[in-house]
Amino acid sequence: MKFPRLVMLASVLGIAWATIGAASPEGEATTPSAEAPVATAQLRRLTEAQYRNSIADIFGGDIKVAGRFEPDLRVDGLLAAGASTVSVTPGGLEQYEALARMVAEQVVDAGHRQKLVGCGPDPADPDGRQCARAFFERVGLRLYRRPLGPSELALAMANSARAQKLLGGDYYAGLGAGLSGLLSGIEFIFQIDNDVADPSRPGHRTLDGWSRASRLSYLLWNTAPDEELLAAARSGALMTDAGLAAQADRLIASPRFLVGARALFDDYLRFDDLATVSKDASIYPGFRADAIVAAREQALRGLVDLLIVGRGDFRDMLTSRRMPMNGMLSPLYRTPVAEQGWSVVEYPAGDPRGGILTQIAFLAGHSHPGRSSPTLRGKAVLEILMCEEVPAPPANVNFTVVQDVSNPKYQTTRQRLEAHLSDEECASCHKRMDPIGLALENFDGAGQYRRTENGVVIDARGQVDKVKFNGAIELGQVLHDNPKVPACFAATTLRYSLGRRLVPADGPLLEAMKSRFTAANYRVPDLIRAIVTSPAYYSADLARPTGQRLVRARRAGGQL
Amino acid sequence: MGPTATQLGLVALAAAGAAVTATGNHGETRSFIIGPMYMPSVEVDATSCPTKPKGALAVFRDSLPPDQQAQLGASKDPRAAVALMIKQFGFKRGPDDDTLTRANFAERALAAGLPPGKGAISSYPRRHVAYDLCTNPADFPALAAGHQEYLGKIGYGMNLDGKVGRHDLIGVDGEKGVDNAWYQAVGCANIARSTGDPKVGDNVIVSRQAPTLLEVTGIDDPVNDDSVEVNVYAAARPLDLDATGKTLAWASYRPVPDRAFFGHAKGRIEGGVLITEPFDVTLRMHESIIDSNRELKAARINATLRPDGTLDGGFYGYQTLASLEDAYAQTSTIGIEMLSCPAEVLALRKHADGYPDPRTHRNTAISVALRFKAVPAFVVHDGAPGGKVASK
Repeated sequence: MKFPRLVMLASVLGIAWATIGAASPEGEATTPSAEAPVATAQLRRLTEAQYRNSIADIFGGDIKVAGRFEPDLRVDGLLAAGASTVSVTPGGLEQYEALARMVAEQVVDAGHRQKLVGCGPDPADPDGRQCARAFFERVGLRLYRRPLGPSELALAMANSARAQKLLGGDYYAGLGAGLSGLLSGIEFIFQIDNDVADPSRPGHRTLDGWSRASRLSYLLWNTAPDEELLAAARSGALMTDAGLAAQADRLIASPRFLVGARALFDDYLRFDDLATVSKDASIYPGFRADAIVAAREQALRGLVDLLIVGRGDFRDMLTSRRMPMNGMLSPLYRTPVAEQGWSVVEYPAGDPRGGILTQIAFLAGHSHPGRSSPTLRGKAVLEILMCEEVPAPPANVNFTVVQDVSNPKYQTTRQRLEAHLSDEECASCHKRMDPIGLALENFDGAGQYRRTENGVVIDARGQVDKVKFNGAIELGQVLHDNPKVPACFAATTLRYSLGRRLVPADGPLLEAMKSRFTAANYRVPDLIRAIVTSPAYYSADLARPTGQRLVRARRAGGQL
Repeated sequence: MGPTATQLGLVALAAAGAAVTATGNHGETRSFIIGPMYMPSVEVDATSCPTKPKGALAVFRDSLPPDQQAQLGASKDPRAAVALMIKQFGFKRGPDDDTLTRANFAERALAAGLPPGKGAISSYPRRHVAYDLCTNPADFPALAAGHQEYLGKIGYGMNLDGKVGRHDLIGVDGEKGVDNAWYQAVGCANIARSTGDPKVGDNVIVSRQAPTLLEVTGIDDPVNDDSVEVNVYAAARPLDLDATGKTLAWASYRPVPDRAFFGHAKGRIEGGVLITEPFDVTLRMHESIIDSNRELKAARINATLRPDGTLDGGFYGYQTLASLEDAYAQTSTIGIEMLSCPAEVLALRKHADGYPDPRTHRNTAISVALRFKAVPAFVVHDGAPGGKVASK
């Protein structure tokens, strides 16, 4: 089978989005009811990682997924929340179609078809229709996280047959074209919530078992549901408290939960922003090209080890002296490592390193290319750790005095910021951000320790919520003891789990999760389990604009 | 996650300023990794280098009859001249062979048709056996013509023998009796004059595949200390470069376990200058095109501990001719336009001034100065007593 032929064929047939016009699986319309409460569905576009993980799990890790994805959108601090607000641009649609063709071509090629298709035309099935049906039923279940509806299945088979004919009778090329259509479908690219009447709460709507399986799997493993989870959805077990808890416990106990937790921490700390971090080599020569990649990995490894594997107190991430370390980072930390690969170092009491705020991912990630930034660091602490909003600076701010590091009148960053604060318009926000960030001034813009700046001993005193402290270690302890920090994380985790902004109706669930987090001694797995086993998490009573979007999309043939 | 650094037996080895792990009465330790290391050259003039030495290819061209010279002279492409030289002198080259070792050299040399007992391992562009003007320079004295020795009086180095001889140099700092016969032998050569210029040489990293580690222990006072210990190791992995292409500071290295590449000396620090007593040490020299060693006898280190944590100075001692000639042999015909192996090797033999062979009474080593620049590093020892990790 030649790739260009498949490309051409898919374009000619318009296969890619053909499935979108199909009915929902059980024929139940997903149209908002006129009766209150309104039952609606939510769409969440798969992240790049979720897309890749899904393909690898369904077809195998050797299936290449090479291409660009639509950029994600951060909403309310989370890309996960943005996933329910994004659409697909025409350019993005072409990318998804190209990816679909690429994956489909590999699945049906000579090297994979025996394992991944497993059948073909034979004397008992001369035109291969039974084989095609079995293939699309099996693969469709995994891709759409629910059984294909009759019209979806019929369409896939019809598309395959047409493609086979157009491609000179190549049976597997036909299957590939049909599969490409499924992979391009909105039902694969988006997690789509389908709701049903809540059997335990008359008059209310709740997510059906298939949607629950998707939520559980993409939250806990960051990938598509496995066979066992889909079986639990099919049997109705996920619609019961006991069945839900059993599957949640199974997924959390699996090593694959580490993958899901990493994705949560990555989004929580906004580490995707690190991809654009670069440093001035002449100022920070030790900050090599891959340093920021390693720094991100260091932070995520440390969090997963402390909070998931070790089931540690969430707040200890702000004070922990243990840090993963490798040869890319150790020179920046001025720390010896036995191996160039990853190992763990433990800094002794009295050392200036301790907690995630003293790691390079945070320090360098919230700095400028050639200098530190107490303002950016303070802003990050307020927004990420304390869920406090910091307004954007006015458009006409004069940053000259802050940016001029060679001005002999102001030798330290603190002095430059204090001079900048003479501008009253700026002062109100800087007074919240800077006292936090100045406590981290013993670390330069690359995250390297420094005792002095331009020969002047650094003053690292700071203040958070009227609590005064000195230096990064004390800042970590102050934040560790500040109840806003775990409460913020509980709210962030709930937003991440729901994949949207919180609305007033989420209030009871949020308060319940905060209490459960505190009662669980701030164990992250317990917080996540509390969320996914809460009936409120699956409520479909909220009216969401995405439901209207879905209906419009389906009516328009898939255009979002 | 793995064990802690302490469990791994890491020793936090300190370097400049606050980056120091105190070890009680034993003082602190500072460790370094060397990037550039080379023979430093002073500025030469018509008095010190009256003529410019020719590369072997030019010597060969000059030796040809006029008609052949004219024939080759029309082309700037040296390949025809090289081919003619190979044919005329009977150079031999075996096939590329990455499995070639000193142990199987004789067998492979025989198979490649090298003259019995001749030839060497050459590394460019891949390992192979070779017999040519660099593997056996003494066999081609005709190509040594036109060599220019350094006639100047000033040079880098130290007074190694405590004497002020008639042929000794005067150091760049005014020290008399400086012994650096290596420089006197080949200091006018193109390579010595170009990469030997400290403005150039200080920025050229050598032996990147197996850099040299220095470890100074027992430092009670980094400015004046009458007793420190110095260890020299070959690193077990290539040198790390920073984002600007220079030697990366604060990287961690294990030494190779082979004790042949370990050197130890007692020393002292005077006014921030580290000075060791003489000791024998073999320094690795491993690049992509050369894998050789520098065998130094009665070497001293004289280097300045800088406030920024770096160390710069030199190794001063007697390098064995055997190790020097091995390096020439490995260059094979790479540099025949820039240098003449026969000219340089024969000059080195002539100027050799140390360690006479008891049987032949010929000197087997030559006084040298090797300038280096080093940055702070961590030396990680297997099984060393655990220390606290320090990040400052």
